[in-house]
Amino acid sequence: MKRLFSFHLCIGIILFAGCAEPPAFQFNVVAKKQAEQDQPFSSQQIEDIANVLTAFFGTPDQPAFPNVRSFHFPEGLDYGEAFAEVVDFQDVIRAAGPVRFDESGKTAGLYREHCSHCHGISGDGSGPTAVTLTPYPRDFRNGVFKFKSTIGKARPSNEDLYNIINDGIPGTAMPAFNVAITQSEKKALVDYVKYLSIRGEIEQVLWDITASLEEDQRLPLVFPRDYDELDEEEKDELYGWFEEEGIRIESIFKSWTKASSSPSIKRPTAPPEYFSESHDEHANFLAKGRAIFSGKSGACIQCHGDTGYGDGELGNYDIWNQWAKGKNDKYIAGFVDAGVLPPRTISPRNFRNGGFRGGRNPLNLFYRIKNGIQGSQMPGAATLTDEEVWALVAYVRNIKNETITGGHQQKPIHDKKIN
Amino acid sequence: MISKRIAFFDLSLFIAVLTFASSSAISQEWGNLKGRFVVKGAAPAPVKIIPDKDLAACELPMYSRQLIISKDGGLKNVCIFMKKPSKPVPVHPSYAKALASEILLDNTKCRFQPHIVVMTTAQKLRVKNSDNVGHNANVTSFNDENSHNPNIPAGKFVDLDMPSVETRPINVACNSHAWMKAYVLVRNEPYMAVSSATGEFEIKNLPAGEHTFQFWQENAGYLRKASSGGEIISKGRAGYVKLNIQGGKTTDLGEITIQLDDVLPKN
Repeated sequence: MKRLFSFHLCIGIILFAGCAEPPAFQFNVVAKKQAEQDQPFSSQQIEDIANVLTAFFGTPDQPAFPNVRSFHFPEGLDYGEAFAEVVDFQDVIRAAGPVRFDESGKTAGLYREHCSHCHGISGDGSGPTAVTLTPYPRDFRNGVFKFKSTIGKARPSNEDLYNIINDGIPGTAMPAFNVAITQSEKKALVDYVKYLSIRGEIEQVLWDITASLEEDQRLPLVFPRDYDELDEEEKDELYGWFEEEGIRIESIFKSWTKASSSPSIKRPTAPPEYFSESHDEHANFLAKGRAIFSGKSGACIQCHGDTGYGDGELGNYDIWNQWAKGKNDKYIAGFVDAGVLPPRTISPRNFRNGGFRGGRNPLNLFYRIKNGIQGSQMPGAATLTDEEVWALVAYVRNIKNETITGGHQQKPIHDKKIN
Repeated sequence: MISKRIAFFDLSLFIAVLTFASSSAISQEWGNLKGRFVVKGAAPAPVKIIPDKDLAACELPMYSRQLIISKDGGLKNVCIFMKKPSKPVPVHPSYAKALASEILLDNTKCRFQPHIVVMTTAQKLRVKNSDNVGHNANVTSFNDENSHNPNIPAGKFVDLDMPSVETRPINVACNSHAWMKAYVLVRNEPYMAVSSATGEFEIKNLPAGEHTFQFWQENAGYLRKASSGGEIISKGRAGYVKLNIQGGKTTDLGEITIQLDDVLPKN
C-alpha cells in the first residue's frame, strides 16, 4: 500500500514538476469578463471575490463548509446548514485533495484520480485533456446539467448525477464507472460535483453583483466578520444589500435542496401497451410518432432534419459556449487567450447513428423530449400529452431502421460536421 | 434592529392597503414620468438579417433590432424601470387590470413581437406562435424559476410563470431560427416602460417621492452617461437615476441624450 502511495506521489511530482504550489481553484474567466465588460474590476474587488470563495469553500486540498457564524442572518438561510443538507461533507473530503489512502485504508482524492484531467480542478470542464475532446467535458460551474429527470433549470437529483457517473455518456469521452469504482466512491463524487457546482454558481453571482458596484466599492459580504459586532448603520446597509442581492446566493442553496428532495420530478404515465415492439399496433404507434416528428405539433424536423440526420439547424451554441455567439474574432481571442476553451457550435442529435447521449432507455428519452435538454437548444414538448411523447420516444429509437424513401433527403447536409 | 425593520414593513403595507380601502384616510399622491431618448451622432444604416430557412414564413427584408434610431434621433427599445425600492411601494389601482392579465410575446413572421416585453412577477408570460412553422422560446435566466424552453407548435401558445425578479432584461431565443431574439424584464413593481419608435416613454401613476430608476439598452447594457438638461443623470456602473416624482404632476425629463458610441454594437 505504501509503495502504491509513493508511486502516485511520483506521478504527481512528474506532472507538477516545477510547481511547488498545491493546485488552486481558478476564476471563471467567462463570468468575470462578461460582468466587467469594458470597465475592469479593481484588484481589491477581485481579491474580495477570491476571499469570499475561500472562506466559503476552502481550497482543492482543504475544502471547507460555508462559514456559518460570519454569514448567517437572523432571517436569512444558514448557509452552512443549507449546504450540509445538500452535500455530505465527509464525501467532499474523501473526493478532494491528492490521490491517497485515508485512515481506514480507503482510496481518497477520487476527483483528482478519475475526473480532474478532463473536468479540471475547478470543475470548469477545462482539464489538461479537455481541448482534445469532442464534445468538451462538462463545466459544472453554472449548475446546469443536460441529462436529468428534473424540469427546466431545476438541479439534477442525486440519482441523476449518480447515473451519469455510473453509465457514462455514450458518444462522448465520459466513461461508465459502473464496475471501475465502488458505490460509495461514486456517491462521494456526486457530492464533490455538487460542491464544485455550488461554488461555481456562487462565483458567478459574485461577479454579477460586483458589476453593480463602483470601482471603490467592496462586496458587502466581506466585511461582516462578525455580524453582532456591526453598528446599526452597517447592519442596516448589510440587511438592505442582502434583501436585494445576497438573496441570490440563498436561492442557489435552495435550488439544490429542492432537487435533493426530488419533488420537481414529474413521473410520466406508463407507456401504452403498444409501445412494445412485439405489439400488433406498434407500427401504427410508430406512424403516430413520425407524424408528430414531421408535422406541426412536434416540428422536430426543423432542427433534427427531414430524415433525422441532425442537420436541420447547425451553428447554434449551447449555454457553455453562448458567450461567443455573434462576437467577432478579436473578442473571442480575448477569452481564449485568458484560458477559455475555443468556442464550438453544437448539432442536434443525429438519429441515424443510433446513439443517445442521455441513454436510449425509454424513460430517459421521455425526459429528454418532455423536459427538453437544459443548456442545449432542445426545447421541452410543453404542448404534447404523455402518450404523444411516448410515440416520439418509440419513433426516434426506430429512425435508424427506417428506409429513406424517394423525395426525402438521402444524406446528411453536412456529412463531415455530424457528430 | 431587525424586528424594528419588520414592523416598519408591516406598517407600510398596512398603509398601502388602507390607501386602496378608503382613499380619504391617508392620501397617497401620484405623479407621472416621461421623456424621450435621443442619440447624438449620425445613426448607422440598419443591419440586414438574411434568414436561412422558412423564407415563406419570414418578414422580408428583415433588419436587426439591436439599434433602432429614428430619422430625428429617437432611440427605440430603451427599457426604463425602477430600481428595487428599499421599502415596498404602493401600486396605483389603475394597474389592477393589467396586472391580472397575461403579457403577450408573439412569434410572427419569424420574429418575436414585441422585441422587449416588461412584466411583473404576478403576471404570466404568454408566448404565442402565430406562424405556420414551429418555434421555441428559450428563456435564459440566472433564476431557475424564470428559465424555460417550451416548444410552441404553429398556432398554439404556452403560459410561463416568471416568479423571480430580474435585475435587467433577460434573453429569449428561438433555436430553430437563430436570428430570433427578444428580451423580457421581470420586476415586482409595475413601474416600467420601453421607449417607442420616436424614443418616447411615459410611466403613469408613480407614487410621489424619491425613486431610483435605471435605463437599459440592448447593446449598451445599463446606460451610464444619459444626460438631461445638460446634466448627466445616470450615475455609476449600474446607471442609477435618482428622480423626485412630484404628486399630481408629470415629471418631464425632456430629451435624454445618449452618445452614439455608447449604443453601437461593441463586438
